[in-house]
Formats: sequence, structure tokens, C-alpha cells
Amino acid sequence: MNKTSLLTFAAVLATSAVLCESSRAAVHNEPDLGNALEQRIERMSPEAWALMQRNGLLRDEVIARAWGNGGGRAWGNGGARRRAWGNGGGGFANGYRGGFANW
Amino acid sequence: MNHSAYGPIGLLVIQSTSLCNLDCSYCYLPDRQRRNVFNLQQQLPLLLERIYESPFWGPHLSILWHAGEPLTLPTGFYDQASAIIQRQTAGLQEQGVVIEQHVQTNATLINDDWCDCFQRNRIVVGVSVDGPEEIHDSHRRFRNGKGSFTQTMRGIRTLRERDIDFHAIAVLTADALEQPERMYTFFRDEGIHQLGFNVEEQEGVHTSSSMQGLLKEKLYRDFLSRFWACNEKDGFPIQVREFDQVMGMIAGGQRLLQNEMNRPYAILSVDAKGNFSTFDPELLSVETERYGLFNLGNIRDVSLMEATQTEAFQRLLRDMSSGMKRCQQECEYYGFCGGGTGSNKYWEHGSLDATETCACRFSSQIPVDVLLEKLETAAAP
Repeated sequence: MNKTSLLTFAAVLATSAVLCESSRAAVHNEPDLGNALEQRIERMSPEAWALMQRNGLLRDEVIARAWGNGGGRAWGNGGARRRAWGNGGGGFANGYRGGFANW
Repeated sequence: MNHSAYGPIGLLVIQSTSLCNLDCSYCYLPDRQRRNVFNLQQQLPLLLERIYESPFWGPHLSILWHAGEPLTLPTGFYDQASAIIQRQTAGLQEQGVVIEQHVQTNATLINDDWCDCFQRNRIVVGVSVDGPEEIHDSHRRFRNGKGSFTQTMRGIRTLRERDIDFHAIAVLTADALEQPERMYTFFRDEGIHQLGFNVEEQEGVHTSSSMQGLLKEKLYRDFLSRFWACNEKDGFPIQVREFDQVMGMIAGGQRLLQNEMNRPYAILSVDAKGNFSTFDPELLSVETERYGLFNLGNIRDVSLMEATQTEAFQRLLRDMSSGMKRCQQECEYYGFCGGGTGSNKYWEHGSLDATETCACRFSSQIPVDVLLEKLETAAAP
């Protein structure tokens, strides 16, 4: 690693960015509106959105940072299980559902 | 090989030591009484090289010291680790790669020296605490049978006195389910603002769970609902991970096609001896009848790329992918889950090529149901 040139760094970073974008596309999807759960979400009232907003519950960045270690879930019982991907943005690198089970 | 189907590695779990000073009744780690220690000088530079020579690395790496009690090692271990990480990756970090460290700890050993260590090495802290004293102590005990609550709370209070942010993980066992108000009050009053519930699972050497059965699922649903109500009444001082994650997805209009525990090399887990695995960290160093060891090799002998070409890895991937596909076809919660986790599928069904688990219901389905019910009944202020 120490011998890598600056140009190589730029190249690998670009490659990494492409990889991350394609990975993001591979793991994220639009809601499937044919799904009964999604239809419930579609029908949610403005009050529901206001409830989340009012209480600061739509905080992608905070969520991503708080659970950066794997969301505390990757290991079930007592570990750090469950981490970042599901958090709707900002969390791709640092997770949903990582973690540790019974810890 | 299609690299876009792998990685990027966002979480690197390193077992700094296998030893734990507790002997929790629900723990699944078989080596927790042995003191295997990760050899920093020999293994950490090599591990970082394995990652950054591979095509699987990404722009943000969280290194998590865990899988044993990381604080049973001296603080100097993490000073040394930080120095090695800095030395090995300075160039990458200058170019914008973010590398951060985390520990998940039972908090019993946290004192001012540890707080100094966390601060000077910028280590993010997660603690494991199950709730009020008798709930916590019913499972989280020292080897002599004494509960660890007093020591854990002393550690947590030290973190608070030092203004060190932390999140908490509570393993929910049957004892806690009937006391959601008391659980809520405990976490609120202890200043714990970021909380995740890990429902006790059947895993590894922990072959049964107090949370199995439809009645427990109903109780958990009720628990989350009442916990939400308490939290709402106080203006939501506690971020509950289970709800935040779902709300984040709803707000962002994004759903999952897979998750990092079923996507190869999204997570890399390395035990104290240098053996590594991917998918969920609970598979690390576990030996099973069907798959043998889930380990893909040792960092000393095998590159991450080479490991993907082995029959053992390809078999894991085939079974994992097949199980995910069936989940996607059968489960309406798929978008919030991304296909479940291999360890739960294996421990509950004996194969990674499986679909719904008890763990799915606790970790995805019930939180989604409770949240939607709450949102659907939301009234304007």
C-alpha cells in the first residue's frame, strides 16, 4: 500500500466510486407499489409524516452515524447486530443490520 | 467475476480477543473463556493489505473491535492498533477514504483511562445493557454467577461524565417483555438516547431462546407499541434503532434488494487467529455439519479474491442467493429486510437456502407492523 502512487490512488478511488455506485444500485430498489405494505405507506396521512418530522425521526445522517458499527446488530444476542443499508440514504457504508446476536 | 455483486467492505469486525469477562446465559461464542489475542504487529498490517489490495474496499470502513470483550485487553492495544491503521492507510485517508474504529463492550471495565483511550483514538462506543438491574442480571453475569449491572452502570455513567456519546444494545429476553414502561423509564433516565433491541436468538451453542413462540411474538409487538407510546409522550428522547431504520427507508423512498449480511464482502469478519469470513459475523469460526467451517481461510494464506474462488465460498453464495430469491418471492416485508441473515437461517432451518425465520419476524416484520400502525393512527398536534 505504501508504494502506491498518487495517480494510482486517484484511479483506485475512481474505481471504488464506480463500484460503490453499482453496489448501491444492486442493493437498493424502489418501493413495489403492488405490495400491500407499500400501499399502506402510500396511503399514510400528512399527519403521519408530520409526526415523524415533528419529532426529528427522519434523520438519515444521525441514524447512519449512530449505528456506524454495524447497527449494533450484526451479532444477535448482545452483539452489535443490524446495521446500515436500510436507513434510506447516508448509510450505505456504515450500515443496517450488521451486528451481533445475543450480546 | 462481477465485482458489483460483492462489497464494498463497509464493516470490518476484528476479534481483538476471544476472552470475555462475563458469561452471559444467551451467549453463543464458544471460545469466550479462552484468551486468544489478535496479533497486531503481524496481523493488522497484513489484514489492511488484504483489504486494500482487493477490489472490494470502499470509501468508508468501520473497524469494529468485538466478538469477545475488547476491554479485557490493555488500552495500549488500541493505541497500537490506531498507530498501525494510521501508518498503513494515511495515503488513502488523505485521498478521502474514511476509516473509523468502534468497540462494542459490556462496559464493566470502562473507567477514565478507557475514556481517554476512546477519545484520543476517536473510537466510537457501543455498550450492551439489558435494562433494570434484575432484568440485566438475570442473564449478564460474571463467571462467579454475580450480576454485572453495577459495574456496567458505573461504566455508562463514566462515559456520560466524560461526554462520550454511545449507543446501547439491549438483548430482549422474556423477562423484559412484560415491562415496557419500566424498560423505557430506565433507558430514558440513564441518558441512553440511541437504543437497539436484539431479541434473544437461538444461535450456535445457545440452542434455544426464551423468545420462541407465537405468544412471545405477540408480547414483543405489544412491548414495542407501548415503548413507542412512552417515547412519544416525552417527545421521543430515545432513538429506537428498529423504528429509525424503517422510517429512514420510508422517508428515502428506498427499499432493499439485499442486505449487508447476505451480500459477500459487505462485512469482513476476522477472528483472533486471522481466520476470516463474510456475510454475518456470527458465522465466524462456527463449525457446522452442513457447511463445515464458515471461515474462508486465514489472512496469512489467502487473499480475499482467492477466497471467492473456493468451492466452499461458492456453495455458501449459492445457498444464500437461493434463499434470498425465495424470500423475495414470498415475503411482503422483503424491501425492509433485504433477504434475512444467514446465521438465523442456518440455526433455525439448518441451511442458508431458507426463507422466513423467527429472527425475521422480530427484527423486521414486527417493527414494521408496529410502526405502520402508529403512523396510521397519528393525529395532528
